[in-house]
Amino acid sequence: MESSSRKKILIRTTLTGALIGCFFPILAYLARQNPNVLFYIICTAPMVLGLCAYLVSRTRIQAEDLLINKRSEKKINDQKRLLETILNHLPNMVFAKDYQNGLRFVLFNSAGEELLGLRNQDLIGKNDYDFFPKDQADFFTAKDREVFQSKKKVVIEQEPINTPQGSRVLKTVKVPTFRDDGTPDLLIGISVDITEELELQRSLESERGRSLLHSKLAALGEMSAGVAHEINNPLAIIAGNIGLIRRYREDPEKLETKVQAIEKSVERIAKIVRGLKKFARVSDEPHFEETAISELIRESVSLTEAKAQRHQTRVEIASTIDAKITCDTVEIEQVMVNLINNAIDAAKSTPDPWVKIHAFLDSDQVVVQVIDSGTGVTPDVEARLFEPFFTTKEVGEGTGLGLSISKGILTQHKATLQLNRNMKHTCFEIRFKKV
Amino acid sequence: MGRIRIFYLDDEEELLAIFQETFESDRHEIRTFSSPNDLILEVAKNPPSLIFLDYRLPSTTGLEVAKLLPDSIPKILITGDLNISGASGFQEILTKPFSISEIQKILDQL
Repeated sequence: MESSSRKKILIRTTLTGALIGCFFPILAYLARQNPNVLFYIICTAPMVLGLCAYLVSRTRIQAEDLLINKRSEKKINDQKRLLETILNHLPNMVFAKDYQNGLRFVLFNSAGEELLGLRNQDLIGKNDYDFFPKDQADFFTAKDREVFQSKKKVVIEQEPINTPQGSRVLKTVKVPTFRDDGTPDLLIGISVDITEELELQRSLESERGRSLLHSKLAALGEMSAGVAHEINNPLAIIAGNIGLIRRYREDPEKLETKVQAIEKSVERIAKIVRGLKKFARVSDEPHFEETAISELIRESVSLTEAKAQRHQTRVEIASTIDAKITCDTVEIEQVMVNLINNAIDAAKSTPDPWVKIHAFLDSDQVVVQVIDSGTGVTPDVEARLFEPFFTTKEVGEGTGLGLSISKGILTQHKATLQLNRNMKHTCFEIRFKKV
Repeated sequence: MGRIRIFYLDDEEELLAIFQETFESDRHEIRTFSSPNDLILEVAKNPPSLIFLDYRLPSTTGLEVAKLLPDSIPKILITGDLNISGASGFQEILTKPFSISEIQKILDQL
């Protein structure tokens, strides 16, 4: 029952009692006039009843109050138990420090006890200086004060900490609480142990580096076979023409055509070798520079010309734009060559094989689409497209690393690679941020 | 007696021209093809004494083409590739750039 309604009842009963009390002198007077005991009793009865009503109602209210107190006490206890259960079964460390009392701990959950290798009773009433080296404690305390100053939650992304299990890294959220008068009260801290996560991340990164190397080697192997063929053909033309030059020593006109044919073949070989130059780069670190997207596309198309010719597939730059992106040219060319090669592989089995490349602007993004004459990707393949080692190509034809590596490279460039499902034909779409 | 007929299949047209210009003689009639279909049709009509086949062709290989040609005609595989697997039934496998004297020697032996 609310206290206001309780007050109302008490006032009402008291007033009733008083009202009845007012009749008392009148009744006493009447009793003296007529000293009949029964009459006296009848006359005083309402007053006694009123008094009784008042007493009963007051007792009832008191009893109710007691019940309410008991109930709220039970409720508080239930909530406390619930909170304790949650806190002590949370995998994260939760603690509270009292600002007014030198940032001493007032709460520490089981995960916290386990992490620090200390028991609650050893922690409560102590502060950071009792457990950590001074520099760590200084860092924690400074952060704590910062939290109260900013009056906002503060997230400490990486917080190294010494524990009995060795050095751990925590991600901690610190939240300030304030009293009704606005003075700082408690600092609540919630910490997640991210040591394993960081290690996993590090090992994933090195794994990525390894598979990047693997894919480069695989690409190099595939390429050297192709390059050998591409170079040996013009070499055969040169060798053949040299033989004919010997024969036509006396015929300047024929001699000239043969020399020209040799020159053409030499240029053809030189162009292939220029294409290889990029793979010979020493540094593995990406080198970012502003590059025109049209140039990147043109260069990538020329690197895939030989393959397109071999599979009688038309590769066409259907539209292009005058825009620049910041990128590592070699890496982005690697991505585009990979997409075009995939497109040629998909297109070659269609009746009229073609690959079209579109480049356009979409607000502040530069979009490059590689579309082939294939009819799209089935949902089961789509789900696994970017998985490393997943390939639909025949054994020995693909490493299954192309798309996953491409995606990795693009992520480093803050660009995205997606399959565009809204197209009739297979369309891979790269989105770069425009310079 | 007519000339010895030699066929050569390659997608590199310039190489076909050189081959013909180099080896065409009073003794040898050289016919060149850039399309496997044309070659197969012509072999059926006028079988040659020897066929040179390029390994890497658009959408097929010299090995596949060889399977469609009569076993009785000797074949020589010419390739610019570093290594090829499954090449059997060829009299010889030559690598590009091929040596003119080597081919001349083969032709002279016919």
